[in-house]
Amino acid sequence: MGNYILKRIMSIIPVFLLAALLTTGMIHLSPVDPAEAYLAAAHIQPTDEILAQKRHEFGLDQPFFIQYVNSVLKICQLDFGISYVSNQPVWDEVAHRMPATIELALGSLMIAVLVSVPLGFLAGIKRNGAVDHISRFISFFGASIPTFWLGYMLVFFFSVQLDLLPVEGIGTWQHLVLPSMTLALPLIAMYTRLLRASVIENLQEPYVQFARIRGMTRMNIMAKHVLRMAISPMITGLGMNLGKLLTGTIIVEVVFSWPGFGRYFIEAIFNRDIPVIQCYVFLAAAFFILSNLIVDLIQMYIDPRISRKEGQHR
Amino acid sequence: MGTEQSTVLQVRDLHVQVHNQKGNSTIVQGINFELKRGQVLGLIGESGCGKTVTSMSILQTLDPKTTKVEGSIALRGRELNGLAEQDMRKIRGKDIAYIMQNPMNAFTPVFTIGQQMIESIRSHTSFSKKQAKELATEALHHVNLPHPAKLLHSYPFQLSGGMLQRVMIAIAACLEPAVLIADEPTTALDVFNQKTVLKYLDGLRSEFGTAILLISHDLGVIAEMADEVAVMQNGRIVENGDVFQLFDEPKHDYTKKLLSARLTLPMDQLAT
Amino acid sequence: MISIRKIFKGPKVIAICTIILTVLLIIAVFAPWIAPHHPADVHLVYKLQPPSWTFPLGTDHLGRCNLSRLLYGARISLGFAMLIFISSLVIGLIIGTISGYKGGWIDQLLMRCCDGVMAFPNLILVLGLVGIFGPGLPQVIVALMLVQWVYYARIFRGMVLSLKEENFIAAAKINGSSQWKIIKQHIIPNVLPPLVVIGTLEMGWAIMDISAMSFLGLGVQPPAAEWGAMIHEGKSYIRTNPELMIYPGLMIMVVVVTFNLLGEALSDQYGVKRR
Repeated sequence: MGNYILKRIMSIIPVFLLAALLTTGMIHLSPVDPAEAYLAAAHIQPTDEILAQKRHEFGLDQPFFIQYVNSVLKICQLDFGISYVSNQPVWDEVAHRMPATIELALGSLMIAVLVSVPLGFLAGIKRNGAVDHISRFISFFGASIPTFWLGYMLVFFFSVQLDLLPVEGIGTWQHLVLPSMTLALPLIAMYTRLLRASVIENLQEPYVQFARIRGMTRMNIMAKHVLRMAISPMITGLGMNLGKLLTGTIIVEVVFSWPGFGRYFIEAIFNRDIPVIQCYVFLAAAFFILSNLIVDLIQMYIDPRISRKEGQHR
Repeated sequence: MGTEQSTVLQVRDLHVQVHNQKGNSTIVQGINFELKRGQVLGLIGESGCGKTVTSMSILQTLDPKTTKVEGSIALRGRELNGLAEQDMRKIRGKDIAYIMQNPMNAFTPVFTIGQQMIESIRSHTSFSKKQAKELATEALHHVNLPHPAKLLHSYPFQLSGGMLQRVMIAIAACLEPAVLIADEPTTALDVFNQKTVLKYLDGLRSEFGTAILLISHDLGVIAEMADEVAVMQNGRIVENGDVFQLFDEPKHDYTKKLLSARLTLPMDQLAT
Repeated sequence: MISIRKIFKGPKVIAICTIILTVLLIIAVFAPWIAPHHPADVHLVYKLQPPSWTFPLGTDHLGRCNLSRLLYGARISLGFAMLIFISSLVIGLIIGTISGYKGGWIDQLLMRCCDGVMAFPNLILVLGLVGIFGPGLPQVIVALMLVQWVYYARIFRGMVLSLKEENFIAAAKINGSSQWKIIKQHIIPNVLPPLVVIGTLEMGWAIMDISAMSFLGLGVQPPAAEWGAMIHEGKSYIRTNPELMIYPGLMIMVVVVTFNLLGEALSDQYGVKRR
């Protein structure tokens, strides 16, 4: 089993390198010269001399391969360059804002899992029951609602009309409620549907019937056996859809003025702050790769067939 | 032990109907048979004749929304048909045990054999985990499965069909059932494993006096194990009686047809 | 006993959704004739008015007619969704065909690219591209195109692969019928359903993405009337005039829901797997 883990970890290194390659290459795709952009943001008049100097500083006059290797080395040291706007190391700015995004993401994931597991499970067990219809409704509309609009609707309802929760900002748990709810809904839509389908499929399996014939209580069969089996595809789905979570944080942070990494990214786009943009894209890719890996590992723990079979010769 | 011949399970006038879009259709009709203590009743017939439905109705696991079960199914005098679910649950697995046809699918893939055996034992007794584990280990030992302690930590996919069948028998042995329904226990196995499984089924019978309802379409298996035989065709029992009599002098046309189609049985055994 | 499930599936749903979409299409095409005012017409005198005969849905903070802006918004959303669909379809066709035809390492490389793009979250790629190229509607459109073609490329590659099969040529000979007939009878029915299903769902997504980008201020620039941009402008008035945000949001939802419903119904009908 340790072998399997090691193999998986090794397999992501080339993907990381590829991501670094793409982000380095991004600069060259841009019609904007990074040196010019920097000077523009710093409000310095670009003369040829200063431009050349800046280019040299950024290493832009070196062959691409050298630039790539430099980038990779720098990334390993968490050096993403200096922000054009604030003149501070990008990593510092990012590290400063990251906790807020993580708080939001975790809050939403928690809500999403707490709601979708019981909902999806009950919907699958009692097909066409009341819970099932509710779950299908949520699944459908949750996926079709524009996240930013949902955020404002919630704000309108809870903050403006009912004055229960703050409109924006960060600080107390009340500040966290609406943003995480907004972010959680598309996730709930997806997970509920996945779990429901998985439960329905599992109920047809022979092991359920045999468990009943052995004299297990219905509660035991459902809560222990079926749930454990059915949750596996949902976890895979969870991993694959973390991308939605990432995307969502950007929008939710803008809507709720949540001072996180996503909002910073949008600001950087407006400011043409290229180092920050690069950093975000790379970290997004890294997050993506890592989360897929973690999901794989969790899968392995839940479903023992995966790792054991790798070793067997069949 | 003597020749105590008390009736353990009595099925009278069993009539099962299924309700679907087209209306009601009868699956089995007028089924009558008895299981006596320590006896093996063989139930033979082709696929689809209603053997499995019969055993499912004894266990009361048919869907009440789509099926209607009429008639009497009495376990030691206690009526099972229409019994409340929580009472029936206690009987399933303990008083009436069941061996499934395809052992590879029977167990939950994500739990170990040990976990599922202990779970079975503890849901019918008040044993502690440790006691249940000991009982399970011993039972596995009894059916000659190697390294019982290690086996308990294995997952179902790591065992072969024959081994899983024996595990099912072991679980049954732990609970000392009055009745065991074996639904095609040998169909999914090779000849060697077939013999082993039959041997341990017989062991249950001799040790606990379990009455066995042996369902099979394999006449060789029936011939070897059964004391009495019932022949099913299209949801009805067309003939029943003592195994030797039935095989030597079949009365019903259908029985004759079945028997004549299996003349090559002894040759099979020699070939391996 | 009718289950709600049955209500939401089947040809009836497909019909209803198609009708709704046709209505939207008509609105988009004929907006200049249907709308009571020009969407950019500013009447500061009449700003933030409730619904009236002149302004059926009221006015926004610059005195512009809400209804007109909503109707014109359909043009932008549907129009560009169509544009993106067609162009990514073409790109997908070209690349898919090359990939399927050439095979070998080109095929592998292109398909790996597809996998990467498909797996990676849509919006982040789009944002990254916009980050490089700069904010603006053309950039957003191009970015969305670059993200969408992958789905079609796969379908077309599959088509080319099945055409390449020697069996196909042999079957044509045996059958005596022309290759065109076989293409029509066997290949096209395999290609069309996934295209239609994915196309429908992707259009819904494209509209969502366009409005999201406009909302962020990176897509459509003012004074253009686009639903996402309208929400962006309306958010300052959430306390006093929430309808400035509610109307455009509802429109987005209606359109996206219709596309999704249609896509799902079609996918069930033709047994095609979704994204």
